Amino acid sequence: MLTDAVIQNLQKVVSEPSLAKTRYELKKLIGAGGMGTVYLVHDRELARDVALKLVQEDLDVEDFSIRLRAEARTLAQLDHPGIVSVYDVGVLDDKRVYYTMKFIEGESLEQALKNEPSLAWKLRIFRQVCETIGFAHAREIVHLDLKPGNIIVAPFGETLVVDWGIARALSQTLPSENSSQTAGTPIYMAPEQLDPGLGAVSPATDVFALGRILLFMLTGRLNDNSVDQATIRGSLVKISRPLRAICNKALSKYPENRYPSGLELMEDITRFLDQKPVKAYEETWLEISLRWLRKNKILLYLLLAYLLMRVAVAVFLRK
Amino acid sequence: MSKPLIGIIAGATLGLLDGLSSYLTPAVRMIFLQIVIGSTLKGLITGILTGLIASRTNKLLPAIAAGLVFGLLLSYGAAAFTPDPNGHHYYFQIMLPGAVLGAIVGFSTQKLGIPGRSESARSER
Repeated sequence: MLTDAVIQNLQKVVSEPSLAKTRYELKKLIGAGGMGTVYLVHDRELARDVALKLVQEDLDVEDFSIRLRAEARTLAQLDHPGIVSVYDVGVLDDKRVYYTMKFIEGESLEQALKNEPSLAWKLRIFRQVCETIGFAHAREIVHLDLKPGNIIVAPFGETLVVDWGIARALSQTLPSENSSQTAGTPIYMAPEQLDPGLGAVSPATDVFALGRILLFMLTGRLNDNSVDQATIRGSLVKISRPLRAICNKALSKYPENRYPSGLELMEDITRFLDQKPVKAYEETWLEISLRWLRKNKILLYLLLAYLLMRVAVAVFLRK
Repeated sequence: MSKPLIGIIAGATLGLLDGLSSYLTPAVRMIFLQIVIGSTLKGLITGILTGLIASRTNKLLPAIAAGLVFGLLLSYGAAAFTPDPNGHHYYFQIMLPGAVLGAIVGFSTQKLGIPGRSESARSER
C-alpha cells in the first residue's frame, strides 16, 4: 500500500531533473524564481559543489531555454566580484537548458536587514550593489529586476547581485518583443518599465530600483500604496537631508532627472560616507560648517584647548 | 602644496597670531616685539620639522604628535631664553599653548598637504 510518505517521495523523485548524462550529481533544491529552479549539485569532474539553474518544467521550454542561455551569456560577460561566475551551459535529455555557476552561501538582503544593522553597514552594502550595477551599466547591460531578494549578502559582508534573468544588453533584440519592459517586480519597477510609452529602459531604470532599495534599507518600508504616505514621511524625517535627496533623485519619475547610472549613485553614496557634499543636495553654509566640524573634530578640540589655555594664561598673568 | 610648505605657512601664521595675542596681557607688553618675532620663528621651525615628519607618513596622529613635541620643545627654548625684565621665566604660560599650536600645525600639514611621490609609493606598497 502507498503511504503518504512514499507518495511524497515519489513526487519528489519525479519532479527532480534527471542529471544522469551530465557530470553533475543532484544534492538539493536551493530555490525557484520566475524562470528557473536552482539546485545545489556536485561536479564530479572537479569535485566541488556548484549551483545549477534549470528552466522550470511547467514553462515553455523552447522560449525559456533561449532566455536562460541569454542569461548565462550575460553573466559570462560580466566578470565582477559582485556577480556570480558562470561555469558551464548544457542541455538535459528533456531539452531543458541549464547552466552552472559558483555556489554562494549567504542570505538575501531582505533577511540581512532583519538583524537591524547600522546605517554605515547598510550604506556600505548599498554602495557595493551600486558598484556592481554600475559595472554592468558600463558594459551596456541593464538588470531590470533589482530588489532586496536578488541581492545576496555573503558571510564576510560581500554582496552579489543575482537573477539576471531579464537583464539585457542595451543594443540587444529580445526573444519576445518588449518582454523586459513588463517583466519584473512591480514595486521596484521604474515608470518607464510599467508604461513603455514613457520611454525605453536604460541604466536609469536600474537606478530607480536602486532608489527603492535604498529607501527600503533606510526606512524598512516601501513607498507603495499599501503603506500610509505619512508613515513614509515620518520614517524619512529621521534620515539626514543629503541621504533623502539621494533617494529622491534616484526615484525621480523621469529618467533624465535620475543618476545616469549606478556608478554616479555609488559616487554620491561614497561622498556621503566620506562626509563630503553630495551632488543631489545643495547645503546651506550652516550645514557646510557643521559637516566640516564633524569631520575635523580633532581640530575643534585643539582650538578649544588653545583658547582655554590662552584665557587661563591671560588671567594668571593679570594677577 | 607640499606638507613642509603647509607647515611653514601654518606654523608662521599661528605663531604670529599667538605672539600678537600677548598684547592682551599687560604684564608682558614691554617685551611684545620680542615675543612676536620669537613666536613667529618658533612656529615657522615647528612647521618645517612637523611638515617633514608628516611627509613620511599618511597618518594623522603621528603628525599631530610630532607637532606637539616640536611645539613643546621650541616653546621651552623660547621660555628659557626670554625672561621678563625681572628675570622671571614663563615656562608653562608659553609651553602649553605652544604645544597645542604645534599639534594644530601637525593637523594642518596632514590634512591640507599633498603627499609627496615617495610617500604615495610607500602607501601603495
